[in-house]
Amino acid sequence: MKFFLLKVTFFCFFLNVFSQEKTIALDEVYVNSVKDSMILNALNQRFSKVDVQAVSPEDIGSMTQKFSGVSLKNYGGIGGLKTIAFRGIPGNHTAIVVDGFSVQNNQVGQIDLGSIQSENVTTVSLNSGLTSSMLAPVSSILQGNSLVIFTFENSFLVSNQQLRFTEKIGSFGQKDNYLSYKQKINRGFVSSFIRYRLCQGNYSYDFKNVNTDYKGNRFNNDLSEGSAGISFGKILGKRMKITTNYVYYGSDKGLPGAIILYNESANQRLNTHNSQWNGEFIVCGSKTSSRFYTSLNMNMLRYLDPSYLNTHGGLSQLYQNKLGQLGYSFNHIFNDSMINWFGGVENTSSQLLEVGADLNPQRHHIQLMSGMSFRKGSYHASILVGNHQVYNFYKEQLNHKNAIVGSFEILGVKSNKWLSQPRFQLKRTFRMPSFGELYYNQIGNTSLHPEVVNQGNVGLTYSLFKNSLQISFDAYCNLVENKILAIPTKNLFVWSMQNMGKVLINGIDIMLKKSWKINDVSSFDTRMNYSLQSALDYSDKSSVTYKSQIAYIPKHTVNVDFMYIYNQHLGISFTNVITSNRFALNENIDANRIRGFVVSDINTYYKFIYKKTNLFKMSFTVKNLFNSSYAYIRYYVMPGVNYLFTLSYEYN
Amino acid sequence: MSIIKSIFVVFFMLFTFSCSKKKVDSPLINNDLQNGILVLNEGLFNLNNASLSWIDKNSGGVNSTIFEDKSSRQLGDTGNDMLRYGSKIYIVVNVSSTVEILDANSLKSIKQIAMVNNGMAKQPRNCIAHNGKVYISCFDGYIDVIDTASLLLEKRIKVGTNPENLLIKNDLLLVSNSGGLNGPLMDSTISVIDILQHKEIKKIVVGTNPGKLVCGANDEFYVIARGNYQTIPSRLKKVSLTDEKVIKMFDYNITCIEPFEADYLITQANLSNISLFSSKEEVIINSNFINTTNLKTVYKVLYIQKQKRIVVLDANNYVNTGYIFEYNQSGELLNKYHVGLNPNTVIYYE
Repeated sequence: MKFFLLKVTFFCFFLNVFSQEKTIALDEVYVNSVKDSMILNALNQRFSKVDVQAVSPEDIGSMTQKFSGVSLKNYGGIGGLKTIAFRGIPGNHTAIVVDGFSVQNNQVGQIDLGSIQSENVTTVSLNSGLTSSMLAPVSSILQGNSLVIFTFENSFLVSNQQLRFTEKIGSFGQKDNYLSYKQKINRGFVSSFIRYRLCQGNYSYDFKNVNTDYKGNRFNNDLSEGSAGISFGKILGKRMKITTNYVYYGSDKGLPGAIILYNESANQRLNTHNSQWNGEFIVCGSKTSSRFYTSLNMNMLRYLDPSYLNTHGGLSQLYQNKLGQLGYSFNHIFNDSMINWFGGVENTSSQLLEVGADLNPQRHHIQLMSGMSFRKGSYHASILVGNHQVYNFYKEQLNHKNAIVGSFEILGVKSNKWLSQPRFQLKRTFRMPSFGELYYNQIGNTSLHPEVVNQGNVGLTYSLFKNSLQISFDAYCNLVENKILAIPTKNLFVWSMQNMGKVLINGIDIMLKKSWKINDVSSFDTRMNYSLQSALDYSDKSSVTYKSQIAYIPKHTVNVDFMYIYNQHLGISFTNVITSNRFALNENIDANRIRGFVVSDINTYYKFIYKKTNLFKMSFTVKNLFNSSYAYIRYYVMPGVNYLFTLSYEYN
Repeated sequence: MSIIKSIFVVFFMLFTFSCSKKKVDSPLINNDLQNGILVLNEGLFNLNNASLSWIDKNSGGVNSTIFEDKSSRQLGDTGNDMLRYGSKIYIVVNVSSTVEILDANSLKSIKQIAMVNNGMAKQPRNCIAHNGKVYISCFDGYIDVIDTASLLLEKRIKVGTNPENLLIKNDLLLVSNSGGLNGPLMDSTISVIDILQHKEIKKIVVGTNPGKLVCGANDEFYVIARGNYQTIPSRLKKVSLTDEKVIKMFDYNITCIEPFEADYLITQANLSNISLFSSKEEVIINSNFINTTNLKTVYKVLYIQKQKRIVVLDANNYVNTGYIFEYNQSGELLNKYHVGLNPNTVIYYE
């Protein structure tokens, strides 16, 4: 605590002494990024660093719920598992790409977005259309939807040195420190960072158990995690670039599980160690650009359950995942610059090993893609065809799957009286079952087929009043086939994965952004998005759930955010997430209904620049301002009102 | 467009699209606890949605929130077993690790026993009553003895791993030790407890993953050895207490057995009917005694001797609310009731 007070005093000293300093150049960088903060297009949404800071999220997972069409599954507070469904499509269909490299886990098929930090993010995008960069990993383009994150550590420098330092102190014992340094070298950079985060997570909760108040404190919800990394990038000659980075992430956390009425004995834990090395080599010719990329990932996961009532006196399961990826992608521009040809090939080899058990499946996943894009007047059309070849090996059995996927889209970049920036998209994607779904004990089912998604979208974007008001409309229809579900097959204690599901999702996304310049020194921005998702179960006509809204997909989600900026130094943002009722199971009855919620956060900051190169910033955030009692997942209650104090320093 | 207008538009859309809610049937229900059926609905793991349904046989109405109505709170997570003994009803709630004791006439909670040992949940599983005691199998390897007068825990009897089903026979308490949490190396024994001394006197090996126990003739009983759900199939076995061993095995891939007058009702995996198994001839004498083709998931079959009713509990894919099908002794369908999630036990009220 003393150390913390010293830091605050030091920071306030800087604020007082240097607050008169103004640096227009650096300010412009931030102002520009505000203006370019969000692309009003539901197929390609983007948040800048400023947007991320305005929300002050605990991690990337919390930030994703600000995207239109995203349903966040948050299993409770800091350290809780966070996954997303985009437009009712399960999270396994959304690729996670950090600094141009895929982050994958074939054991569970999804990445915990709660483990991806937000402090070093420069932009975070949710792309559903063909990405602007055709040199992205082939797997991420073929997967259809991708969450693309760019970080400070892996961008080329504009100055000789850059330093970032952030310290966060918040409720429930939250401490979060991040330090990063980047040095310009001859036409390149080298950078490194270190970060650790601690949290006790022992927040109180209070909910109605029928007419009885049920109160308690979340326990076994502690988190210790750390990460560190080093990056290197260099421009070679006139047209070549090489970058490489290594990131380590480790965590130890309690798994509080759902709140079980009358039983508070959860004591499971999860330890994770993850190392990933990435490398890329890019050649940009006058006509042809090529990218060679590779990744190696080692992941160790240990699950401990000392209360498991077996003869060993508990459960201790250790899993080791290895994954190697090698890929090549290219983009060729033909002479008239009206036609592009792009394509690529990628091989991902992975292996899972459960130590002390005979679970050791392997997979080789080869992905090929080829596409063309055409430009005529203000219209841009793209067509893409891809092929997956998947070879699974387990217990000397080979299981081969292949699938053709593709997409077609037309984008209009200009407007006429009625049709403003129109867009149209058709897409078919697939995902392989994870190792867990195929092979894990009695749950796994080796006969599973890949889950297939067909997506269609039409949309328009209007820019009015000299672009100070932007509105976009998108309507979509998605069909998920062969949806993989866990179903009890022998009795309630023996579940198995089955291709049982078919889900039809119809929806609309409306996004709105408005800026007011109040006077020369102050401005007011607001942005809203509304998403309607009718995600209906079409699996079995004879079932009571036929044409019922599927579990955990809210019909309505709204984000309403307001930001006031004064003199480029002082800012206040008020952000709101509104989610309608959902159901814990597919049967849409009152007993399964989960109450909707409104969660509001307020964030205020003060920043100033000293001698053009030093940016100091202090912010204070009140999360869940109105102390709403809510949960994304039934009985995984979220914290009530809580606080976060952030100090940051940037040297450029 | 002003901010206020923008907000208005968003909230107007919310209001407009939020108006379509499915209405739930609410028939007139007589909750006087006469001429009805009380159903324990197991619920689903981690959803705290175990419940009781009260079926009013006069009106055919069902109240699936009767426990909440009477106690102003929920029953808990995973209600595994229920029995009536004297004026009380005992409900075993597995994941919440409690035993809920209700007044049978009012269904109001008398006591909730926390089944915890040194801070660890005992995970109670099944129960049976005898001579003023209720015996509860606990997954931590013990049988808890609860005195029905004082409602206090009297003793813990050590048995095998993950004990489940219970049977009283000849002043002996038989316990199937499933060892289900040690899969694939499960337990294969039946613990035999002297009910007067409250002590395990022997173990009989019967086969992998023993479950349901039912009485046989003389010193015999039947057990379903459920296998490991993969390479070892489920089998019905006849066991002699005197010989302390399996004396006969039946090649049925059996999932359920229930005494039915002098015979037994059985269900088999992948067969959509209930068969009649003769105790004398020890063969299936009617393989289609009750046709259950129209049922989704036959979870349990019960025979209520006093009312001469066969009750089939349909779990409806385990994730949707289930049904109770009531048949007469000839296997003719009398009634069908829509109840809660995963019905697994019933008590008849006259």
